[in-house]
Amino acid sequence: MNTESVLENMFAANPDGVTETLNRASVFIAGCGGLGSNVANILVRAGVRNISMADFDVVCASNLNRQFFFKAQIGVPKVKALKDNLLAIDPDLQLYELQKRLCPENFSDYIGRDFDLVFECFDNAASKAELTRFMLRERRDTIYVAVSGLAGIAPVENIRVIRRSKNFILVGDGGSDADESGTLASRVIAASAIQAHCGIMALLERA
Amino acid sequence: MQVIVNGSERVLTPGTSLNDIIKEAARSPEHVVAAVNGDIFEPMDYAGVILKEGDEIDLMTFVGGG
Repeated sequence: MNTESVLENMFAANPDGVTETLNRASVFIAGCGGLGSNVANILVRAGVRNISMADFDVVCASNLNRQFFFKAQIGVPKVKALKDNLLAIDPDLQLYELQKRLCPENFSDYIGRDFDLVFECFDNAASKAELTRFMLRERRDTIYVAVSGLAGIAPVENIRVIRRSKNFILVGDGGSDADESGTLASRVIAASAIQAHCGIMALLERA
Repeated sequence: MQVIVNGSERVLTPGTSLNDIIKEAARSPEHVVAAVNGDIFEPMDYAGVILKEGDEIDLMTFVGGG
C-alpha cells in the first residue's frame, strides 16, 4: 500500500467536509509543552497538514506526565521531538520548527498574517498575556485560541469556552494555576483537546 | 464617576487609573490583558491611563499552565 492510499484511508472516518478544510489550513502553535504538543497531535489526526511550531525548550523527564514526548527524547529540543512524533503519524506533513523564545519583540517576525489559526500554548501567565495583547492588536483577522486555567484536579467541566470576540476564543477554568496546583495528564490533555476543537470549529465556520 | 468593568457598573473616584483597578483584580499586572473602550494597553502604560466617565474596561487575567 503506497503512502497516498494510506492517507486516503486515514481520514475516511472524518465527518464530511472537515478534511478538505483542515488540509488547506495554515496553523501556528506557540509553545510545544502540555498544550502545544497535544494540540499538534490532535490537529494532525484531524487533517491539518501545515503547522509551524515554536518552543525554546528541550524535553525533560517531568514533561512526560502530560506532554506528547517519549523517554528517548529527553534532552532533545521540543520542536524537533514534536516534529519527529508528528511525522511518525503522517510522513508527508509540512512542519516548520522554530526553536526560539517568542516574546513581544519577535511575535510579528514569526507570527505572520498568513496563518489562519494561532494557538497560545505557553505555560507562563505573563507570556500568555503578551501573546494575547499582540494577537488582539496586530492579528485581529486571525483565529486565536488561548488557554487560562487547566491545572490541578478540579472537574473537567469547569473548563469553559468563552468566545471573547469573532476570532478570539478563550479556554480554561480561569483560575487554576500550575505553580500552585500541579498539572495532571487527564486535565491538561482535556484542555488541549478542547482548545484544538475550538480552533477546528472556527476554521470550519470560515470555510 | 461611573464606568463598566467586565460588564458590571462600578463607581470610581475621579483620577482612578487603569493600574488602580488592575491591582484589585490580579497579583501581577503583567498577567492581565486590559482593554479600555476596545483599546489594548501594555502593562507599562496602565498607571498613565486615567479612566473617564462611561469607560468600558475589559480585564482578562491569565494563570500559568500549559
